[in-house]
Formats: sequence, structure tokens, C-alpha cells
Amino acid sequence: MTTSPAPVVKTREPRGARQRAQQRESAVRHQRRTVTLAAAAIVVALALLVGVRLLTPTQPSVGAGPVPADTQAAVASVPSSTFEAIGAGSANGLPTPIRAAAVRRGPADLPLVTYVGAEYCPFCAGERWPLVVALSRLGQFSGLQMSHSASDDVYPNTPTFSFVGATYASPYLEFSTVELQSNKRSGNAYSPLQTPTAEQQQLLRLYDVPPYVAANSAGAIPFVDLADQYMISGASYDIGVLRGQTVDSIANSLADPTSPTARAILGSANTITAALCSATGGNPSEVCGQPSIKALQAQLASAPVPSSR
Amino acid sequence: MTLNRWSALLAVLGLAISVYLTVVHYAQGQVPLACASGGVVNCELVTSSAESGVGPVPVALLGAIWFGMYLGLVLRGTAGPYRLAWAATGLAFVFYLVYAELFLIGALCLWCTAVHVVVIALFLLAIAQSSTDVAEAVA
Repeated sequence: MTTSPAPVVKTREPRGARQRAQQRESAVRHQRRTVTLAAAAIVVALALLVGVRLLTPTQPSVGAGPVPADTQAAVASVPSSTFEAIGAGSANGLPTPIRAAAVRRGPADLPLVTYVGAEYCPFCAGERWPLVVALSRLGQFSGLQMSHSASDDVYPNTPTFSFVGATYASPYLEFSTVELQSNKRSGNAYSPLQTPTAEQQQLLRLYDVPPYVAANSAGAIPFVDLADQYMISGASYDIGVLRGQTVDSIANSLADPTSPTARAILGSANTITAALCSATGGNPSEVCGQPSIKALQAQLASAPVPSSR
Repeated sequence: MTLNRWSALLAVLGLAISVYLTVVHYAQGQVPLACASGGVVNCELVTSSAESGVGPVPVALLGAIWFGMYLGLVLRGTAGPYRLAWAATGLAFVFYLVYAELFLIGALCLWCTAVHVVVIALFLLAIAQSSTDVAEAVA
């Protein structure tokens, strides 16, 4: 008996299963390729952002040095009609009443306005704009320098002026300033710049405290004392409107009463001017007699002095 | 671990960080922000900047809502393309926030960066999930 060899059975994968496996492999390859491409695109986009940031100068258009004459003129000679069109504009509110029995006076026996701030401080940078505009209606600045807030604080590099080295002359007011620190880092703080006088320190102790400011804002800058009749702590408007601008562009936008920048700065300047007029007894009349200033003065007069109760 | 499990895990991680940052925001100093605050890395600067909120709503809260929604989509087994669309909105917001940190605020927040990495990872997982769904549909 002969035995025939067992038949060789060739096991063949069904065609459908093989196709499905190939499709799966293809799908996996496609998936990996898609995910890799997406990841690469994201990395490239983020690298581009970082690259552009590194190549962009930190302070592209804000700088130091004297304020150009045309810029200062744009700030100091805003037409009355523009002030009138804006009124309080988008100012956050009015200066806080103090109404001390006597108007604080400076060495020349004129009402004394005192500013305490710092060059790094973005809110000080913002507040200098309406302060300079308002004071320029009653006098004249010289020696103003261009400056900017710190590059590593909120609202970095906010363009502004510095009061360091500037002088103010007016037949109606005196202006005392101190910039406590510069906008340059020194370790974990900013380098000291000017030392407050005894009177400036006294004003901080008297009025940059409750009930004039919230307890958690005591001692905050910017602080402005308007001859002991009114005070300001913090910026008078949303300084976000200054973002991305230069000293020049801000100064030029003041001519347009519809621009958000003008509404913020000139509106705040009007509220400060109204408070100044209260200290100067309504002088000069060409400024203090304007309808918008009179209206704001009436509002200021009816605002209560904060009470500690 | 499957794509879904990775997605769920990352969504929970992102949710936890966002909730922490939201609590820090509303606690106003009562809950410490555990992060450096000086130089380029400055969480306090970033989380207190104007860009840290959309109107009155803190970005951290928006993040918590986004991660919560994403986790819901994963747990419900929502199809990949829908998840991908939701992830794409998150990715677009991440790009805006990175832009804001670099160009508007000038500082980076490590917690925020961690959240950004999680969103990017979820976006890539959503792409993978989406192409898996398509492949399964073809098969």
C-alpha cells in the first residue's frame, strides 16, 4: 500500500482582509503624516512669532530726549472748541474732593499742584498727558523730555513725558514734581531717580490714604494734589488707548475730538482744569469761564468729600 | 493608552490649571500665584494685564469652560471632526494669547504656557482621532 503524500494546502489570506490591512496601514501612515505636518506647522508659526518679537526693537518708537517743538505745541495749544466738544470725554471720573480750609500755596504764594510718580509706572505715564495738557492751559512747560513706562510692566513702553528736568511757569499756579524711580531695571526694582521733599511726603501721608483712596491703594502712584482742594490717585482714564502709539501720534490725535485718545486725554484734562480753576479762583477767565469747565466745576462742587465712616 | 484616554487626561490637566488660575483671579491675593514674578517670566504681570480678560471675564475662566467642553466631547465619544473644530478654536486663541504675551504684555506666564502646550497637544490628538474616524469609515 502506498501512501500518497498529504496534499499541500496553501493558506491564502482572503483578498478582502489583505485589502483592509493595507487600508489600515495606509490610514495609520496618513494619520502620522497629518499629525506630524500639523505639529510642524504649529512649531513654525510659534517660532515665527518669537522670531519677529526678538527682531522687533523693544522700544520701537518711544524714546528719550527733548519733546519736539511741534509735538509740545500740539499738546499746549489744543483749540477751545475741541475742549468744549469733548467735555469730560471718557475720563473715569472727577478728581476727589479734599477742600482743605486753605489752598496750598508754593514758594511764590500761588496755588501749588504736586505730582508724585515714577518713570517706570505706566499709569503715571498715562496721567502725565492730561496733566501736561491741563497745566499748559494755565502756563508753559519747558525742558519736557520724552519718555516711556517700563518695558516689563503692564502697558509696556507707554509713551509719555518725563518731568525730570522740566520747569513750569505760570502766573496762576506752581507745579512741584517728583519722579521716584526711573524706567530702568536695577535688580528686582527700578533704579531710584528723585527723592521726595518733606512736603511731598507729607502730602502722600495726608491724602494718598483712606478715605481719599481705597485701603489697598494707599500710597499708590501717580498721586496728584491739586492745591489741597482735590486729589487724583491712579490714571484718570483707561490708558489702554495709548497702546501702540508714539508721543507724536498721541499729540497729533488731540486735534480730533472724535478720536478715543483725545476723548480720554482731553476729557481728563478738562476735569483737572476744572479742579485747578477752583484753586485759582476762576483764573484765567478765558479758560475757567468756558461752559464745559463751568459745568465740571459745578459737578466737582457738588461731589462730597470722602468720609472715613 | 488610546487617543481618547490621552485626550481625557490632558483635558483634565488643562481644566485643573485653568480652574487654579480662575481661583487666583477671583481670590484677589488670598490664593497665592505660585510662579516667578520678575523678568521675562512673570505670571503676575500676565495674569493682571488687560489681556488677561475678555471684558469682565478672565481668560482663565474661558479656558476652564473650553477644557470642560472638550472633556465632555471626549467622554461622549463625539466624532473626531467636531472635536477637531473645537480644538481649532482653542488653538487660535492660544496663538492670540502667545502674541499678547510677546508683543503686548512683554512677559511670559509659565502656567499659561503649560495650558498652551496642553491645547496644542489636544489639537494634535484631535487631528489623529479625526483621521482615525475617517479611516474607519472607509474600511
